[in-house]
Amino acid sequence: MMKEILVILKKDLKETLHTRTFLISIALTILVVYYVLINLERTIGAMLKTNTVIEPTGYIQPIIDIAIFSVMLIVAVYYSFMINSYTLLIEKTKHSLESLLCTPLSLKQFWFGKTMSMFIPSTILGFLFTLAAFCATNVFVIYPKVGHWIYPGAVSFVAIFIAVPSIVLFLSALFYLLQLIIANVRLINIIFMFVLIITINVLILGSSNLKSSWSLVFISLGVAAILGLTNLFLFRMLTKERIVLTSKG
Amino acid sequence: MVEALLLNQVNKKIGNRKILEDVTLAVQPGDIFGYLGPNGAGKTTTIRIIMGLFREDSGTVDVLGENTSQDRLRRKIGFVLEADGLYNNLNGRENLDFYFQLYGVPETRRNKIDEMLHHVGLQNRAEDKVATYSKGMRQKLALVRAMVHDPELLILDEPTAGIDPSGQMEVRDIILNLAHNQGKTVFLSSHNLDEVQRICNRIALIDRGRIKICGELDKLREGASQQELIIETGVNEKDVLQKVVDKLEKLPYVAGCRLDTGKISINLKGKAEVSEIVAVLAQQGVPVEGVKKSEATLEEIYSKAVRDVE
Repeated sequence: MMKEILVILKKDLKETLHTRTFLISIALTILVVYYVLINLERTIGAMLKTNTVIEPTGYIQPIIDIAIFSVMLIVAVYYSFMINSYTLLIEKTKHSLESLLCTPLSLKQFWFGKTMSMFIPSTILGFLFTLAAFCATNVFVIYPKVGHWIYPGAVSFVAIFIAVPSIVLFLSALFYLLQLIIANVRLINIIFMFVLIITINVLILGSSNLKSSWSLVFISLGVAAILGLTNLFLFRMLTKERIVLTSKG
Repeated sequence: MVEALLLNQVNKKIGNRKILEDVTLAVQPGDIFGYLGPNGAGKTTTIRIIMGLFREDSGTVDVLGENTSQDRLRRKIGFVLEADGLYNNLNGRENLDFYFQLYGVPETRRNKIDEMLHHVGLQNRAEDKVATYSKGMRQKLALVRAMVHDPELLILDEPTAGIDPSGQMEVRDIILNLAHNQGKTVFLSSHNLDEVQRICNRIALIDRGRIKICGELDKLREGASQQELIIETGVNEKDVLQKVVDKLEKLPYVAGCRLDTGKISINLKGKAEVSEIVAVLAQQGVPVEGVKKSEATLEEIYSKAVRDVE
């Protein structure tokens, strides 16, 4: 099964990464990360002014943890949507999906392969952008103000390697599943992009108000579990017939 | 011998609309089977059922002796659907390579990509993106893609639709080569009567979800032929031929005769005794150079079947 999944992954990446849409997405991501940095600088600057006695690592580290969580989630989910909507929209309108369903791939292999072809690259990109944002925060914001780097806490590692990937995996699967069983692919794209934009704003603007980054991670794991169950429930509705009939373009 | 394809009383509804009604047909191994019908007759739905994309509401569908719900069965089937399903952002070679890998084709066969592309005249365009291909080139590439895993059965949905005449001829030649030289069974859906008449040995005609005609093309043409015999005599004297016609018209199965230069066309109204007719001519001293039975064209068969419904 892994072999078929890798074949689909390789093909989807080949199709997506060479496009103008992908380059535009990279530029957009850099803008979002820059927006996060500006907010971090403002928040950290304000904290340093009010706390002149306490060692800054204690109150800056939770902010970094939340920022790492937010950037990783936003970037990974964004790329997952981008890769998905690009490949699926084309596959549905050009009917290449129908040809793919005529191969010996089972529905499970097909769905899982497509989910992986969104999940793996988007998680890798999310990780790379998070790493870049973390370094940039320390180089341009923290070091000039504090005089040393401040590293993330254990919660960030749980977020990066467990919580965020779980959400991205199940959200990608759900997004793809909905696009397969609903005829209006564009409508689903718009709804998901709208939800993503609201999430970005909530995370960026609300991050400074959160006292514990662990709570964010636990909430995320809960959300991932709900998404996983939703996928299991909706998968029963997925048939080749439904996919073909919703692919009129 | 197991049929390559066997549909037995297949019914299919989509929403409230009946798409197929009691569709029954059989395709034998080695056939080039033409599946004819006007737009919206149910051809594509039949193909989707054969390919396991749609589930029949009732009836049975066996492909190469197996049920269509088996995913592994599709390793034995090659296909070109109405929309070719090629990836525009990939080049010709990458499109083929994707399917080679999906089918898990051994490396030895994968090395034959160049040979296969050469066979359809696409060797020089293999590295170009498919988006730059003409419709004819796309169809040829789709046919090569259908053959990557060396299937036993080929399902082709309108393989020449939208292609210019020379492209149509090339695609037809490829199909004939696959059937005659490589022993593939071909199920070809089309509304191009000329194409079907040229390459198919068996046909089925579907209209409004029902099979109207099914069988060997030659027998169908023979059966649908107007009951007319054409006798070539080589005699041009009209009065001599008129005497023959007077005698012939007395035969119980002759409805009427028509004279043409050196020929007598006889309309029959029952089973004719050709030997008796020849004997009449011989008695009058008229030599017989040839006897031909007129044959209906596929267009005539098709028009009649569709008209009968209306």
